[in-house]
Amino acid sequence: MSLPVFPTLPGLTYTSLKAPAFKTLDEEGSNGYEVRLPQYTNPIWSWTLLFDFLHDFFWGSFTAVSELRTLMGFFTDQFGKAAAFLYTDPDDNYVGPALVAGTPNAPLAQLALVSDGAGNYYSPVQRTLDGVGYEDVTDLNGAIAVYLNGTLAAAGSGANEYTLEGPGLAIPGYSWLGMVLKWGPGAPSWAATHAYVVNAEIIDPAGHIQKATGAAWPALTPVALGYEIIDPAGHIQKITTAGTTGASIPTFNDTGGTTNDGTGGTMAVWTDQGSAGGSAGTSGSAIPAFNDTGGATPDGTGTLVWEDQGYYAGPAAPVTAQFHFYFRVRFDADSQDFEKFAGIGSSAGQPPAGQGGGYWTVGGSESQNGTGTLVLRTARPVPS
Amino acid sequence: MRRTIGGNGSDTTLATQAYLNSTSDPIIRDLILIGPPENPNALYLTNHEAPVLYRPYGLFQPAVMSRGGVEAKVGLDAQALAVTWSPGASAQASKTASTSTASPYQLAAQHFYDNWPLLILRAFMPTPGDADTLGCAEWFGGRIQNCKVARNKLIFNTKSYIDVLKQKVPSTMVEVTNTLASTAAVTLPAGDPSIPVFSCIRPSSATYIVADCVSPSAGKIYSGDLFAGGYMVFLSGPGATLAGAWSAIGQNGAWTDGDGNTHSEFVIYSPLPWPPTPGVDTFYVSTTAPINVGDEDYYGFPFVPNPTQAV
Repeated sequence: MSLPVFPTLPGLTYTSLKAPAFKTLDEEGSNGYEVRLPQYTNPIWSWTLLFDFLHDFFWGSFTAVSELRTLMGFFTDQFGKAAAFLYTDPDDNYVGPALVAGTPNAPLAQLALVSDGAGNYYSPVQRTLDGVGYEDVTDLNGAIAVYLNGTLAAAGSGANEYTLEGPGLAIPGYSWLGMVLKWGPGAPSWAATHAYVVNAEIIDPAGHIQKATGAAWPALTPVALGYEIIDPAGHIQKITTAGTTGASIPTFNDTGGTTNDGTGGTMAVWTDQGSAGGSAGTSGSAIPAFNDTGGATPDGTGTLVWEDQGYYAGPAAPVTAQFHFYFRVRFDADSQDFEKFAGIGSSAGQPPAGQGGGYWTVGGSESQNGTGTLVLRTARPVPS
Repeated sequence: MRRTIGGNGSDTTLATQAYLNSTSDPIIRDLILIGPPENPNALYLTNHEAPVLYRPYGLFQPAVMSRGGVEAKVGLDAQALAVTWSPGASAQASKTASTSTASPYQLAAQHFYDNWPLLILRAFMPTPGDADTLGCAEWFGGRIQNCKVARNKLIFNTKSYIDVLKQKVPSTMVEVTNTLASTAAVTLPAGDPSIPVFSCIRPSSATYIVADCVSPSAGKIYSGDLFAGGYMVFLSGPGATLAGAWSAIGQNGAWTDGDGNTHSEFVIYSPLPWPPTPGVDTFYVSTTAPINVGDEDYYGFPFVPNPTQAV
């Protein structure tokens, strides 16, 4: 459910108060020692706003809503302090830029990157005031742009893509009340009978990155009929006479002809199958048992061989982001004074009788009798 | 202090103690589990500002809740505790015939939560939201006596599990020394498949019993003082004169008669009303109950915390 947004009105004036608040249980001994138990770590913000003026007359059209009625109506729409809404702090609503001169803007636009220990990575959407402490962001205002070590990442569930979750998420060792980016795997999963280009990467079931390569020529190795490799020129060579390869790589015929390999009665014969076209080969119908110790894993009956690249250690850090955000707030009181201080009528014709006119204030310089100020206070996400 | 278990199931008590010793502003939160964990209607609530994952139990959601306090006491005084919860999103459900979709208010009104277990865990967080590294200590466990529906909140009135030990029980209740129950709740000697039963012989008296083992191994002589601290209970049977009489055992050992035959002897604390009848009266024996961690087959609490050190 999308929340309403607090209206932006021109009469908002100085001075405005903004106050972060925390709650701490404090036990003090007679000797002055204390134990203090923090009850939350994301602050409860409050804003005290003054509106010097709020017009309550029509601007040339009797269908436009006056500023006074916009704000007064918004207050009543929220049933006073009951319902939550979104507030754009004019001076504090943006994180970014993610990059400065092309390099990641850390730490001011940096997001943490943490693992749940099961191969999944997360980045909480947070903002920092001083580059030291971070505060969870519950509501984004528009899109978020995320960079992995300076490279723009896309939204999605694929490799190095992110999905936006929350507000509220917990993984072993961490929890956040705001939005969280969940990163996709470092590479796609293995697919059956799929043609892989050279250097294509997958992530195997153990979380290791495997890189696709073409089978290379083997020295002094018995080769069976039908065995295939990719020669240095990128051509597929297939054994048409089984035998044992020689000690040094032969000069392959890449024009459709044959190449003798080895010597004597065990000589093998390769036959050119044409260019591989940049393909490393096609995977088999069943997932192979991957070598996760830095070795190679043949796949299928063709030329495809996977080379272990090690355990996937997560997206490339640092993660930086740029985005606008809202504060989720409520009115702090069930009652709110609006004070009329001038009775000027319409500037463009008379409003229909009984539909206002004049200037109003909420705690502005003309205020005399109102209690003044409009106070907004942080609202946490909906509890369980 | 209480034992803490980390998110991976390891004992983190020492690490938690080190954490508490190292800071004057520890982050401590309540995790409240209402209901059996396997029940889909179980409530996982926390007073932390964000969801908290404690892997042994699951994901606890932030909630508007409060609770009373309990006192650390030694004894059988059952603690009463009230937990108050104001449902948020989950309260929006409309009235329904299915418990899986009913709101907590409806379930409470139908006494759905009565007699449900309620567990309160204290999570020690080295960083905000981390209930995994140091994990939690069990702080209170009990059963919900009743759940009161109030305006915008539910009040779970709970009694500690120790309440069950205060119940009045019938005379046939299984108790170690309840001879009227005719129930042998004994602690077997190590290696024995069944309760040792002896038959009295001469020269038994009211405080000194000489007997032969009948079962599980006829004539077996147990090692000296194996039954010290345990007890013997006389059995009923044809001609039995001491059925139901019992006494704690001070010593046991072997006794050799004039013919060179070895028998078992027992010195008991409480004199029997009269000496047993040789060849007629029989009794069974129990070794002392395991009360320390080092005792064999001990399944109880590892230790009772010192109230001055308990968290």
